[in-house]
Amino acid sequence: MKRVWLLVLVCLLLPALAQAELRYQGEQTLWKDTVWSGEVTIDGILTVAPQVRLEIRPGTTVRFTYFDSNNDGIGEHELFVQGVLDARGTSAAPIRFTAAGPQRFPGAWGAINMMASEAGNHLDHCIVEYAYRGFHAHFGQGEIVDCLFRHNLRAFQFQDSTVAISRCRIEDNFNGLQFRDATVNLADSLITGGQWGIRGVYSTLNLSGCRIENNRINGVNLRESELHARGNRIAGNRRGVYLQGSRGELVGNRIVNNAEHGTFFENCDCRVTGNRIAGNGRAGVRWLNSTGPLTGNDLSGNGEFALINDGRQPLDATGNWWGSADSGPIADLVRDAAERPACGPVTLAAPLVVPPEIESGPEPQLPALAGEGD
Amino acid sequence: MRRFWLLLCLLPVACAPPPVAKVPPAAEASSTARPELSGTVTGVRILRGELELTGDLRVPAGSRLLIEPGTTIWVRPSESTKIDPEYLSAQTEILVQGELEIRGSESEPVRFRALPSADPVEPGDPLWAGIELIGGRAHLEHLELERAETGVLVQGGTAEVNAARLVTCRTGLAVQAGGHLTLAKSSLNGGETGLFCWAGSSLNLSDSLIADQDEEGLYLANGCSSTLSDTLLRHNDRGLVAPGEVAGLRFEDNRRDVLPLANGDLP
Repeated sequence: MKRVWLLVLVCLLLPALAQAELRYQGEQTLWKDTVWSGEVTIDGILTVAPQVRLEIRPGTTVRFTYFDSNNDGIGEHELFVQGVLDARGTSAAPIRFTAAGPQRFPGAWGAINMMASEAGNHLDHCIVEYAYRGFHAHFGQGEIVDCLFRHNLRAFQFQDSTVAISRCRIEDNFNGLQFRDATVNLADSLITGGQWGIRGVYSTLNLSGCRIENNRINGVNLRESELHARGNRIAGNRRGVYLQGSRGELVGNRIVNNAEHGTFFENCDCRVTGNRIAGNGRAGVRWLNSTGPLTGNDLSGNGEFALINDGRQPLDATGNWWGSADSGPIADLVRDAAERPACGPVTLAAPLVVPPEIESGPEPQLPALAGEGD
Repeated sequence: MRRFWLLLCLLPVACAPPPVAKVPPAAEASSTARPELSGTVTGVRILRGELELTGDLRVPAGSRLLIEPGTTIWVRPSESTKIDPEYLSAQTEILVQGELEIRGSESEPVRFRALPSADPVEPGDPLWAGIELIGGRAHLEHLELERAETGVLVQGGTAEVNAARLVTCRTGLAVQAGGHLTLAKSSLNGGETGLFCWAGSSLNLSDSLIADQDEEGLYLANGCSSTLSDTLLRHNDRGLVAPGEVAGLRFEDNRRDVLPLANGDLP
């Protein structure tokens, strides 16, 4: 009988033991494959060693305590991954990376930091909040799907990395994404409420089906990069798309209601076709020493000009819709050599007589994660 | 022989250099070492004398930066393309989420002077980002500031600016995202745009001059609430860009005094 009671006691205690919080203090390293579930606290810097795999199960919460050694108000505790991170939650049981205790503010903890971490890194149905950098990769690779990144200082930062992000909500961070020397595939995601939506240098960005909205400085800014942007909505930012020294294409996008220029091409070679670039506060298109076809676009209803050519070369803007097919009103909407002799002329032949059909793709299927309101 | 000497005397006049460039050159560095300034302000910090802003400076919420009369801050242009997550620009910036008080006077203004850039730049290009008020508070008196991307950005905060002189900034001032700007007795000279006010923000502008802007002197977006008086818009490409009529402005020698703002929000 005593043995029976002992067995019952063990069975009752077992779940509690399994749910006991796992705590890592100071600088520690995982030297072998590890699985997390339940509650995990990182009170220091936890390294996942090369060749080691950290698996995180659905419903796990990983909390980082606040530590600020240099009194700059920015937390330093982090997860430093040199092996592989495989964090797969579900919409009903997401994985959460967050700040511990009452100090919850952008920058309360450091980062999910990937360093020289090769294939297999995966974040799926995760909430990442209150970090300095939510996901930070150097010489790394990662796939991030159906996640929510919010209230971080910077949601994503990559260098010399290849990252695929899809169906993510990147909301109310100080900045959204910044990368250099990276290849970034960003699809069907929302980036909103930051200062910068996307900023990249020396990189390739494949951007499709995204909403980049209401960012207070730029929606998309790339320098010395390659951009392939299709079927996105870039709206309500201060500047919409600002490309410097870059190449690529913008096809089938809606670039609307941005407070300054909708698009600004500076020393670029870009194909700009089939877009709606309308309702922006200054010009729809500002073109400076750039090349590439600019045709088949809706350039109507912008605040000051539909098109500004500030470069010295001529610009062929044949076949766009200006809000009117009459040459007089169209000429008033374009600033070129006629007004500034040092600039090149703009060819306005064959204007479209009706707005072009801009196919708006399906709204991105963004994740709703249980407990995200907590 | 006399004619020869006469010609020789005239030679320097004939070969005189062209008129001085419109853009003031970046200040030459003094050989005297100056205290350096960068990083995060904690608590209250008071600046005086001559200092060199060698990197980004942040005034977080709860902290306060006071700059005393006669202070000159030499701004060293950044040579990096990096932006740390808590900042806005790759260029050197002062980001204020707490409080900024600039206590210049007419005889002792506070000056922000840009040092020359180590990288080649076009004449008139900005050399630093400027002062960025992100949800904080600022009171700026007798401020002289040059060669910034945006002289003063007021984003969601409140700024009172009196007797400021902003020269050759790409944008003199910008107020956005619910910010409130009161600007009086100030001049914004020589840049791309003098002042932007965007939707959801407010501007009280009086007794000021906005001149020599390559594009807009004053841009008032739909949804900007503005009260204007005794302000002269002179020799800009477009003096005023606004959705409707605006009182309180005088216009002089703009290529176009008023350009009506065409758009409304589109779906």
